Amino acid sequence: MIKGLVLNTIFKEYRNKTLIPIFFVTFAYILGVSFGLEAMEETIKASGFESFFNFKDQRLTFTLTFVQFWTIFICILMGTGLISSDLNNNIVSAFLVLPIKRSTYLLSRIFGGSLILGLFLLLSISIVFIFNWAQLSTWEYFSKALLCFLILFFVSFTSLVIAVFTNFFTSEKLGIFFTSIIFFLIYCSNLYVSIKTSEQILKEGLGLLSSLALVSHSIFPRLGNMVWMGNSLFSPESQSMGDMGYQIGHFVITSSFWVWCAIKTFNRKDI
Amino acid sequence: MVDIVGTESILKVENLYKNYGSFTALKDVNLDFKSNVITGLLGPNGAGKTTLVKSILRLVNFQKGRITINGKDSLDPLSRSDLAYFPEKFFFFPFYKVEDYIKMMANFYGVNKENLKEGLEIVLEKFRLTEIRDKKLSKISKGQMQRAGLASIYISDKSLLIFDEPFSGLDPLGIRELKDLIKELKSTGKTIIICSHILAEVEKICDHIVIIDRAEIKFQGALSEIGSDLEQFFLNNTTGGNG
Repeated sequence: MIKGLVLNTIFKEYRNKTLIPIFFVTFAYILGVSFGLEAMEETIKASGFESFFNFKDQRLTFTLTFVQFWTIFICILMGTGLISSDLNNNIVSAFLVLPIKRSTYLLSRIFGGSLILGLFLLLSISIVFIFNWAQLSTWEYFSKALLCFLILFFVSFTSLVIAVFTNFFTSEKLGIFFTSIIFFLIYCSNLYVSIKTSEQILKEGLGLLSSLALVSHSIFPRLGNMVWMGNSLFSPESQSMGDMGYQIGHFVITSSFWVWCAIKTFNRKDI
Repeated sequence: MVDIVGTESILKVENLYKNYGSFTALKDVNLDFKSNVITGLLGPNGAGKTTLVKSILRLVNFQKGRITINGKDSLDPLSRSDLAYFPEKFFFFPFYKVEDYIKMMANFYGVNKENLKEGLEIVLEKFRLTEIRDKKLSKISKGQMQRAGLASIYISDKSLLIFDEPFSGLDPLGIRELKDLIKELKSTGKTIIICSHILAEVEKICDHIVIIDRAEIKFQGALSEIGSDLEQFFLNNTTGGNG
């Protein structure tokens, strides 16, 4: 029965009219960047100008950063609709009257969604690395590709779970809107904290921007950390996230928030 | 508690209370459904019929009381292992083909592969779905959709079947076919609960009646106890819903 539910999730998302074009756009972008940057570099060289930016070397960063952002966008779209599309027209009752727990239903849906994400990431990363094969040694190729996959999968899986659990709204549009705001705040805070460390923010007092950054960063630090890890893979100069106390504070607040989200979701009258 | 006559108890509702905030949807409901009986759950709109069915299926939680299905507390998901439910305004993902939908639901209901292989052709034929077996649910009519849903219930071969407003939206032919189907299911030993407000149809097929009004059970017993005029009896026992 769990297998059936997971397969149903995959089939449902495979039929999602928004996701399929997004997948194709991603692959087209990866191919475009892989070929385009190299061609741009060649053109600049051929025209006799000295390029101030090494396009070829940045190709991997450009494509993988795009894949990372785009995957989170996909997570928002897929995560918010994963349950709410069942709630529309009361389709969910067909599943909940089966002899399974609600948690089994929810986890099967999330597992099915993450399988799609995994496949999407695997394809994206494979394409990216195949185009960069010549630049890397075999060992470097596999280790980096695997690391990229694991980090991006972890980030996207977390994003998917957040999108599912923060989606208390039967309207998918509202769910997408609110979840997008949350992720926007996460990135704003990451950007801000990358300029100023949390320690500096605390020392300098809380201005409006600092407060926003801290609040969003406090609520979703685990995800922030993971995104950070993904970024730092390509930008080793990234700064540390702050002291241990700050980290523990992050963890407690985030965990409480997620537990609250999960309880709210499990106690929904219609699920 | 008045027992609904049958052989053995298959579904028991004891002291059930359900509130939506300050609104009482069910108040001290006690019912005992015996096997191989067709029970009509009647009541005006807003009386609490659907809430009762949803409580039985644990689609909603209730504040007080106990529901047991085949001796198992309804809190245990396994209590629903011998139950199939046909919801009001039946709908499913429109991109499924009729045949795939029936196969998938049969799989969910635990029908084994051999039975499914044999049973699929029979149900497609029985529910006049053979010609549209490859059509998507989005491309078929409401009546055909209803038949596809019923086909999945039929193939499930569960012993307790709950229908929520099954006659709504059906044409006269569809209603007749559904009544015949319900009678046939009863002859194979199924216990059937029909939640409806269409008295004329319920009267023709049900053995027993439960009347619910303003969150309370007003009557439960054999149809023969009511006499010849169910409509008048219904009107005498109801005040027009809970709203």
